[in-house]
Amino acid sequence: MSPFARYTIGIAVPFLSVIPTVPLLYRLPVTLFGVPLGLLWLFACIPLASLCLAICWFRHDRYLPDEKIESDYDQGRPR
Amino acid sequence: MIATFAAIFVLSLALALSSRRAGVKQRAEDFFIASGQFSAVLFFFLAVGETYSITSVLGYPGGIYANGLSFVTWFLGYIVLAFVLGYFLNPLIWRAGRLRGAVTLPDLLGRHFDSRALEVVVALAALLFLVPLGMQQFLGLEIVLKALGTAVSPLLLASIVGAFAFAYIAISGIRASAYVAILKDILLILAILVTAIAAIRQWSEGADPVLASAAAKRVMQPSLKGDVFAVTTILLQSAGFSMAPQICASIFTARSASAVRRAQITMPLYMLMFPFLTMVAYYGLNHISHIDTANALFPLVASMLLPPPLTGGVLAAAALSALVVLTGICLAIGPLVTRNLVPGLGNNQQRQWSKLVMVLYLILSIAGAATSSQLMVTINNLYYFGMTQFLPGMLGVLFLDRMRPGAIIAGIVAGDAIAFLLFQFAVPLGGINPGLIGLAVNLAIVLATLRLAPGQARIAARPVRQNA
Repeated sequence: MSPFARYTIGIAVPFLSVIPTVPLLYRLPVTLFGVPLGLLWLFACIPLASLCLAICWFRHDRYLPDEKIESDYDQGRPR
Repeated sequence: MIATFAAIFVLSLALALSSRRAGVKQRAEDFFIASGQFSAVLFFFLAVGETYSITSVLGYPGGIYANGLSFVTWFLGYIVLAFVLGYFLNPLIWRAGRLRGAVTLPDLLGRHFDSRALEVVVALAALLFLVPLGMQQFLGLEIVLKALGTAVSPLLLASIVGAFAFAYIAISGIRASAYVAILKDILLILAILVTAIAAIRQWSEGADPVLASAAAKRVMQPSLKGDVFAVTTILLQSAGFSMAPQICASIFTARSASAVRRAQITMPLYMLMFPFLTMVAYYGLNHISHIDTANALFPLVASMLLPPPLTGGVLAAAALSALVVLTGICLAIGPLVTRNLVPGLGNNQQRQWSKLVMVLYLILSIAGAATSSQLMVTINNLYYFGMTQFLPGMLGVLFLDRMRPGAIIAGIVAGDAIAFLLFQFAVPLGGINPGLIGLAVNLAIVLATLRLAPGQARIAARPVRQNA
């Protein structure tokens, strides 16, 4: 996965799903079982955010080397 | 009701005791950040525990009841987007903390920029804005304890609950806090689910059509000013979320960057409790014509719909959510004083003197809550005004290698002052969050200095080939 795709899926998609989408949807007089569409969409943004981050993890980040850094907390430097 | 409540508190104390590591003398870094040994699962429970305070349980339904949908947008919007940004930023903060041996946020900034002045300013600013947060937890606790309906004075009850918070900390610091957070996170979900299901089952009983119609109008009235406030608040608070000292400290507890990332993926899913909490708020709007304080809505609905033993469990979950956040704040504030403000204390002394700082903080918070009637959500806003001003300095640690510590200090002071003055004098901004304007000024100062008079080169904490 390219860095562009990673940031698009991981940051741009979740952000655009909330801003400005939710306030705009509130202006539509559409309700489902009496609940405004904007509110339902906002709730849908919650699993969507996890899905986007999971894609970033499984397609890219889990292959990053996991550093083990031991710290000296008194001296303020790595051991 | 009281028996269930008390039993859950005893269970939480037993869990805290089980977190002790027998025969191991705890060093300061283990007390404050578990020596950075938490797995992804434990880090998840701690981070979630410190995210959803009593403001979420009481303030969220109360906010819908009082303010309608624009409140929901910013409240949910900022949390979900904070987790998204946290997925990318927090592993870098974890790495920076390890490279600098940081236990606190001022440790990280002060050591990275080799500036004692920056360390002190960040510690003082953090303290200033953390103080009202403890008060906020006790304001919420007061509502929950009142719903218990005991004859004991609220001040005495708040003191007992405060003593529990201190007991968790005294037992084993952040480890006890994480263990109690597991109980709290599970109980809170159950409490909200049970109350929401009871609300759905009894929806048709006692519903007032006049109230329902008025409620529908109230929650469905979007306004441009409300939308501008929601959007600017989401931007401010999602960016500032990880800058809070207690959140930074929880990041430092993780054992690796991948543990942080894996936990961040699942964190938004915990938010699925909010649709159920929204149902509770809607039930209140449709069934309750008057309530003294909007924040008392959730305990009121729970006590209306559930049998007393279950209500006791719900109230205990709400109270624990305040306690876990209080322990997190205490464990962040202690080292701010004993590591960052008072120079030269040894490792053991930091741990010992921190406990005294925490006791004083708890007493101050109880006293503040007893004398203040400020709305919880207002305190939440003030808190983020301050926390977000650390963002430019953090970006300097992570990405920019020629930032001047003096510019970061000037930015923090200017950002805090502007945000607070705009808020205090209610300057009309068309709905724009004053904190965002403070942050813009702060960023302008830091970036202008970076451009016009860059400081000495330092190695930024990001991995050199992050995307390789």
